[in-house]
Amino acid sequence: MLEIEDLKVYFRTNAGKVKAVDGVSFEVKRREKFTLIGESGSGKSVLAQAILRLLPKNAEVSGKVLFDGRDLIELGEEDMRKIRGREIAWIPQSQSSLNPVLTVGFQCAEPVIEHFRTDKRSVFARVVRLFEFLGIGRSRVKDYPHQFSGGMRQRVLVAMGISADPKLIIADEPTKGLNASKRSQIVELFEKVGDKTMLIITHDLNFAENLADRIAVMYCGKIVEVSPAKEFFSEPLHPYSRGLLDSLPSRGLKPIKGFQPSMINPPKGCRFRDRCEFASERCKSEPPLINLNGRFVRCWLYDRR
Amino acid sequence: MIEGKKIKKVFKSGIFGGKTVVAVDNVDITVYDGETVALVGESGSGKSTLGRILLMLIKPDEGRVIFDGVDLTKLKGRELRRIRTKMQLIPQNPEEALDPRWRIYDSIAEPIRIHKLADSRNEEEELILELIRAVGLKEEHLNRYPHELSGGELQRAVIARALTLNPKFIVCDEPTSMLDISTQASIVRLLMEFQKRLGISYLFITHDLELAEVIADRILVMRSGKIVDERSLH
Ligand SMILES: Nc1ncnc2c1ncn2[C@@H]1O[C@H](COP(=O)(O)OP(=O)(O)OP(=O)(O)O)[C@@H](O)[C@H]1O
Ligand SMILES: Nc1ncnc2c1ncn2[C@@H]1O[C@H](COP(=O)(O)OP(=O)(O)OP(=O)(O)O)[C@@H](O)[C@H]1O
Ligand code: SF4
Ligand SMILES: [Mg+2]
Ligand SMILES: [Mg+2]
Repeated sequence: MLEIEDLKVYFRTNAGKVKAVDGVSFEVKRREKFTLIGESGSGKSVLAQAILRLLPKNAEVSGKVLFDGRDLIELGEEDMRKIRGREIAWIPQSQSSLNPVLTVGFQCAEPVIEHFRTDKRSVFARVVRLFEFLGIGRSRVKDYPHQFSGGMRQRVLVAMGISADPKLIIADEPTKGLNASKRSQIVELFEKVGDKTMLIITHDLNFAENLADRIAVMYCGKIVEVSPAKEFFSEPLHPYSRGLLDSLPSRGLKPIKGFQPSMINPPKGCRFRDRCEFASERCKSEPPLINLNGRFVRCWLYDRR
Repeated sequence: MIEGKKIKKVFKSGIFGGKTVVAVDNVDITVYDGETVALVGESGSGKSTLGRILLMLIKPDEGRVIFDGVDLTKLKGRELRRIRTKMQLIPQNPEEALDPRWRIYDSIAEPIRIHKLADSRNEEEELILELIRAVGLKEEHLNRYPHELSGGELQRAVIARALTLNPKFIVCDEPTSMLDISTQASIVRLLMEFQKRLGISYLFITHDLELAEVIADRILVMRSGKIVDERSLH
């Protein structure tokens, strides 16, 4: 369905090149819910924007993004516009992508009307049902974004993303700012549109655990682990993954030592090296992504040669 | 200490203002010096509106806001602005806090310049670097515009900015909603460290009950504009 091959995104800045995505490959299978987690600033949103070709001009992109066999990187803007919204839906991380001068209901209905040329009334009825399912009353459908609370706007973004019945949904932090009951409604909604393929980016580990088939972990522009969700949460492999799970508030709010590395001059060898308690001499060279019976991990500890 | 007394806020919308939403309904709230009060509750229950009213960024329809003995609802223009430097907001949507046309460095430097907290350019730069490193960012981020940072990086830049003026009271509205949990843990620890050092009071709005239980002295629960439950933790 979606195959990413050696994708690189470098941003030109006056301080040097930001290597935001640096050689990422993975595959999302049809009907799979593939979840991307990882450090703030590690390249998750940029990866998603590269797939949808939404990057700014200072980005240099290389590699392949195969969607049902077509390479999206090679596609012209006109063809890409048809794919966006209709075949691939995008739920962005930023709420500023809502248009301040259009009502929230109109913004959700618009992509459906545009792509399918169906009659307005049935589309609006559908939008109202979607809103009501997400706990936003019928009387609020004609409000403007600024009249909504943060969590209400977040739900509008989700409704907008799925309203046009796409094949693939790419959602960036779809549950941010939502309380537990609203989060489980989003899980339920995503399961209802069940035969959809999804690439979900999230920091919300409960949400990931409830929804995901597989988890991929990103650190400093690279994927460092890919595991089935169950196995990931019971036994994370990569030292970064373990550190991440250990910093849950219920486990005492213990952050991983050290700081997010520079993406202009990323650490040589294993990029996690100065923060890793298992680091040894050979971590000075870069570890490959090692296959362990269908789980993948980029760490020398698992090299059995 | 900050107190809200009998605060009420009604929003009107629709063509003739015919639809009304009672966002905050007769709320009494106190946050003592050096205290962390977590405010939790359903989406749309009025948390952000209440937070903004305590900072006088929204005028309440009824009620009073008293900060260190001064009734803020009676102050105007300059006086209010002066007292407001002691109060900061870390907004739910970090993009609101920064001017999109300014580089991150200048956004953080602005309050330092206005209030003459640094004697020289060098001192200003040192102050900013120290803050930006404390939130886990680097020099390489300072020269960029807001849209050139990741969601979580922007959120941390806003936190750094809120801390520049050594405030007494901060409304943290979902301040870590875009951070991975390890970065969240270090940011929360940083906020607690500032609290110890400067005696800051926090109104900490969050959806994460586990986080609220770890960091707060008290938890308030809001529903349909009212505070319906209060729990002390320590
Ligand atoms: N337009 C840009 N120019 C330069 N650097 C950029 C630009 N956009 C993003 N970056 C950098 O690319 C890196 C990856 O950003 P990205 O938004 O993908 O992070 P993320 O993993 O989504 O983080 P978060 O969890 O905080 O949202 C970051 O270091 C960011 O500062
Ligand atoms: N400017 C406004 N005009 C009209 N209604 C508003 C305005 N601001 C907020 N509201 C409404 O007031 C209610 C409370 O909003 P508020 O933003 O305080 O909620 P919240 O508790 O912070 O929710 P969330 O957790 O989703 O951020 C909501 O119904 C919202 O739609
Ligand atoms: S390769 Fe070495 S430094 Fe990197 S995560 Fe594994 S043990 Fe740690
Ligand atoms: Mg992001
Ligand atoms: Mg809010």
